[in-house]
Amino acid sequence: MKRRNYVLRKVVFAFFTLLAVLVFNFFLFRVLPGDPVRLIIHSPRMTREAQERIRIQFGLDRPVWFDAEALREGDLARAVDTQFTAYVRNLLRGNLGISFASRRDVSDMLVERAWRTVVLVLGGDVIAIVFGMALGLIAAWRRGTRLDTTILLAALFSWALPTFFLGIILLILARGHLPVGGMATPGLKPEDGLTYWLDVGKHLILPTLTMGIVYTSEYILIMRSGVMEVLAEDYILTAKAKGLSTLRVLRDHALKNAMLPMVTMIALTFGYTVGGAIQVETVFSWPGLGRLMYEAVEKRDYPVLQGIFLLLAVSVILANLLADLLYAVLDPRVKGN
Amino acid sequence: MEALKKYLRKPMGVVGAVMLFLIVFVAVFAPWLAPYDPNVRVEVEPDDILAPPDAEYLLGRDDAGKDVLSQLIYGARVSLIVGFTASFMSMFIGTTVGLVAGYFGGRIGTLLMRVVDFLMVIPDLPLMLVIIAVMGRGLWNIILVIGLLGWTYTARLVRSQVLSIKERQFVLRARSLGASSARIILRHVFPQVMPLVIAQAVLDISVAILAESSLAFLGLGDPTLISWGMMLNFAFERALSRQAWWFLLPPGFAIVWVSLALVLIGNTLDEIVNPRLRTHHLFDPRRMVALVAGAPRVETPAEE
Amino acid sequence: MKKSWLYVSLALVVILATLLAACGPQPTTPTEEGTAPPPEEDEPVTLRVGTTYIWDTANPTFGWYNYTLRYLLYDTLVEEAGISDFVPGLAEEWEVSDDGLVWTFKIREGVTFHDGTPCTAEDVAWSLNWTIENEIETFSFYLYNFQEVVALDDTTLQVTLSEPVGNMEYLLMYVWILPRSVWGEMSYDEIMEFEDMAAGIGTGPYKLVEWVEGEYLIIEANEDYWRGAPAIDRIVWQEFATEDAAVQALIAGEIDAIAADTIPTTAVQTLEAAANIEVAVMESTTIDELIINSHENGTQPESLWDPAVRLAIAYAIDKRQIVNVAYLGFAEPATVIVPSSLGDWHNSDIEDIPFDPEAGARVLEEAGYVDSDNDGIREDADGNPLEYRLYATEGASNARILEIISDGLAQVGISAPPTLMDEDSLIGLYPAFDFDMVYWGWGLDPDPDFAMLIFTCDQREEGGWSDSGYCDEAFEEMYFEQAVTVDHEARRQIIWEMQEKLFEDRPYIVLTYANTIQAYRSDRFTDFGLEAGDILWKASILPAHAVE
Repeated sequence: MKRRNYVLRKVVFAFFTLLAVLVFNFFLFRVLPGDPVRLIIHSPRMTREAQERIRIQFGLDRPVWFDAEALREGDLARAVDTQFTAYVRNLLRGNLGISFASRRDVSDMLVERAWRTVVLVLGGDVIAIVFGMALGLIAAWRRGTRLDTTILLAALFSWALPTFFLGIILLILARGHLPVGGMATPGLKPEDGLTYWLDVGKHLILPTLTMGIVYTSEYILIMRSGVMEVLAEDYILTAKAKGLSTLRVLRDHALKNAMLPMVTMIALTFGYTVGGAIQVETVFSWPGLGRLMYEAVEKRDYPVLQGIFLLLAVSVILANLLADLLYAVLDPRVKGN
Repeated sequence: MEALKKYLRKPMGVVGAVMLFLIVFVAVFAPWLAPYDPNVRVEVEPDDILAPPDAEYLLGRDDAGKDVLSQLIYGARVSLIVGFTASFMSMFIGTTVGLVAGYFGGRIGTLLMRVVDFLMVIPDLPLMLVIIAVMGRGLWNIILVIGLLGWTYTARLVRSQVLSIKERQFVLRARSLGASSARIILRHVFPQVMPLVIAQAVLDISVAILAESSLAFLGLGDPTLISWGMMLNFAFERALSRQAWWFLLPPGFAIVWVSLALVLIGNTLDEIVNPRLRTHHLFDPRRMVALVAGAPRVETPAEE
Repeated sequence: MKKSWLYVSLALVVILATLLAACGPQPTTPTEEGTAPPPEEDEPVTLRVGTTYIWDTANPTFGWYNYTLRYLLYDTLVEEAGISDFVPGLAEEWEVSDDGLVWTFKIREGVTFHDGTPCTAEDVAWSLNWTIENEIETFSFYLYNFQEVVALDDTTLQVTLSEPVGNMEYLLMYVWILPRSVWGEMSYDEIMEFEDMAAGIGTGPYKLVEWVEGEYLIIEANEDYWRGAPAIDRIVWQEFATEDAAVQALIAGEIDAIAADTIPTTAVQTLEAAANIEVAVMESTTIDELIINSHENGTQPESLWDPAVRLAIAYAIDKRQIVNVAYLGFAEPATVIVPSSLGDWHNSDIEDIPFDPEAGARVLEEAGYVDSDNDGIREDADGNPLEYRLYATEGASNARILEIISDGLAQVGISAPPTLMDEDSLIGLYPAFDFDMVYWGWGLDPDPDFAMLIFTCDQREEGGWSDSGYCDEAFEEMYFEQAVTVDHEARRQIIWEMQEKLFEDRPYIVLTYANTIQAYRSDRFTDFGLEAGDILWKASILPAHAVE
């Protein structure tokens, strides 16, 4: 019963957060200063009529929230025909609007870019998880030794390292050995099969490594504290007293219990690494969401920014929900009560 | 005194404190330590641009022909000002919200915590980027944005502490004696959460410093001030192809130096003031996520 | 649960290790110290170009970026082989009637568009009329004076002007001839929304093949090009997030050339030292200036109108320092708006105001601006301090330039803290003239007309080009006089006088005439026509070919 309540509560919360994000997202990009028409129009030479045409094309001729004048005239349908309702209507149809700068469909642009960032984040996460778990486990196992201190210090050091600075260092070190920018050698296409993917893999090494190293530190710290905590529990002491080897204890008991925070962490990372992705993508010319976002900020391309924010917020909300649900499945405290 | 003794017994904490002291010293005495005043113009020739280190310029010259070492020394000021001010803001807002939400609970508490949850869902760095780009790149704008977006974790931490403190004997007694809420909060509850808040604030300083340098690196720093992130922005745009390591590496390592110092201190403080916590709270997964990316966290069911 | 986790982790380690092993050593072999791999027999000759931004759209009617690339796709009636060196394009020859109003062009025979449709005089006439009717924003304004355009037969085009002009060749080198087969049926809205690769169809030496936004763009040789197929079969633009990444790729041999405006001046030394790389430093028409708000309805403080203040500002700017710090010497300090690269249009009589903060301070002192409260900033008679807003677009070298300007102004007692903003926000301030001083740079047309046009009063209306808000009756008269002066020498004299007028009124303080810096792999390509001022310009790319 309790568990069902818990799950239900989480789902409802996620839903309302999503709604709040939708409104916030719309609001944020309307309060920002600057006439959108001016921003769409690169040419200061464009005639007034041409500007008006564009205003209508982008739905900017309607009031933002509410058409008070139409309401006074008793035209209710027109009163609610505003930029906000157009935004909601379009969203429901999966239409995120048209980019001010490139005049392309925002959803197309996002689809085009998103997977590249996902590849980057996934790759970085795989490195971080594998090495983080291994090192964290070793540190906890050798608790208090010089090895433990070394690993801990290394983790704290890489935590203190700004992502972009690590990227620059790797960039300098790898000069002449690995491609320094871009996603693939131009001209190569996915249709080229293995050659293309090997080429992409080559371009992926540096950015992924940067992401990986930065996030490894977190996994080390979590794994280490998780395992250490479990090792201090009574049943482990009992198991040890029964003569089981430390390794065996680690494998059979410690790892299993330390997995809980790990799983949450893994679910969570996908949503938020974009902050790091902006930096990594800037340093390595990786044409993903982070760079698109940075360019959109520079160009004040509000529809694109709006789309990215929405995508990020939705993925964070979903990742949070997933983490909560995983907790419900894995954590005996939620199950048992 | 007792706490100080405990602190001094932890080598990591001592090292961190010494590292931080050095940086503070450098920042305060910058005008005496720096061989040149970076704010004074120097006549340069094209060959002076990015000139490598020599006896006169120990860390070489930057892309405007100025001494790198002197800028490095002055840069400590911006990092520390941003770090301490923004973290103080976060601490103030977070503590207030946490105290109110925890002590009064009820609808206000729920509402405040929903705001916290909501803010946690919005990705921080992208939002900062947009706001700074629009508001302008002044130092105070940067501090405001970092401070105003960074208080959510403190609020949650304080609230959970207050929830347990307010049920304790001395609080209940004070209340039965007719003490006002304000008085109870200030006299009895606040002193109890203070040490935790301070440990948290120290970690927040390093988060703020990293955030400032990321913004400056992305070209959104205050152009009138010399900061390490700004130096890296210039270095990345203009010195990389020259392989001018003397301009590229020092500001980066300076950032690492100060944030490492703060993490070591915060870490040690935590161990001392926070023995009740199940695990070390820097190592809590949600905490880590929060620290590293200024990212969203979920509530743990166990917390409630 | 735990077991599967261990296995998954193990598997991932193995995959990762394989990936690293497979990819690690490979790339060093072909790029060893930048020797390019020998081209294979049937392999098309491909020129790979690095840039930081390819372009905004394939649609030429509103695309504002990468004209060099667009000129490889489309032809114009007249072309430019070097700065102000006009040569026949689609028009083989032309003549003008005695009254200067009727121009007759002989259009090249047998030219076809990339889609196979012919391009006769009829089609050229259609394209020009279509441009005028739809007010195509990127180039219709050059045809402001065109009253009637008709094709007399397949090879004869007749243009009737409303007033005679002295610079017909210049006007026509900006107007692309676009195919009726693509654009003919579209409404205005459809034109503005058209993003298909067919938008790249023209009669030029290259066909637009593929564009992946943010990544690369490919054009291929047009086998039917009227000058004959170009020697370079394919040109690929690759987009890099930073200029340095492009420079590194060139050194590593991953690309063959770097587009104009993409090489940081700090990288030139490195590139010159690298093997097999040729750095081409070319004269350009680019000027950098400090715009001083001169619109009477602008938001600038009253004191900025005072000629003494403007003179003091001119004394406070160290142009040599800007040249050295921002351009590392690859520019020269400027005087008037028309750069020396425009030949005799440039008024070489003007002597520049030297960098002399003391003289600047003296000018202000004499004009009654004194620092009465000792804060280092002078005040006018009413006690208003000389504080101005100083803007520029973002970028490391712009930041350095603003630093220099701001420092110099501080020395004469003027406060102008630098503010960097993105280009769109800055442009957004122009219509209301909501700024005091802006640092800006742009490339002039090869004819001085446009440089003068932007200082005329009409250009301050919405949609106009004026960025200073300058409006002056005497200047206005000279502008209209030069526009209808056909004789070169007479027109030159007026243009010189206009430059002097602007130099004295200072809506612009022109700072530098910059060079264009480009670089290419000399072990792979050779014979670019460098006098064109841009190695990717049509006149430069056509004679170029791969090294045998």
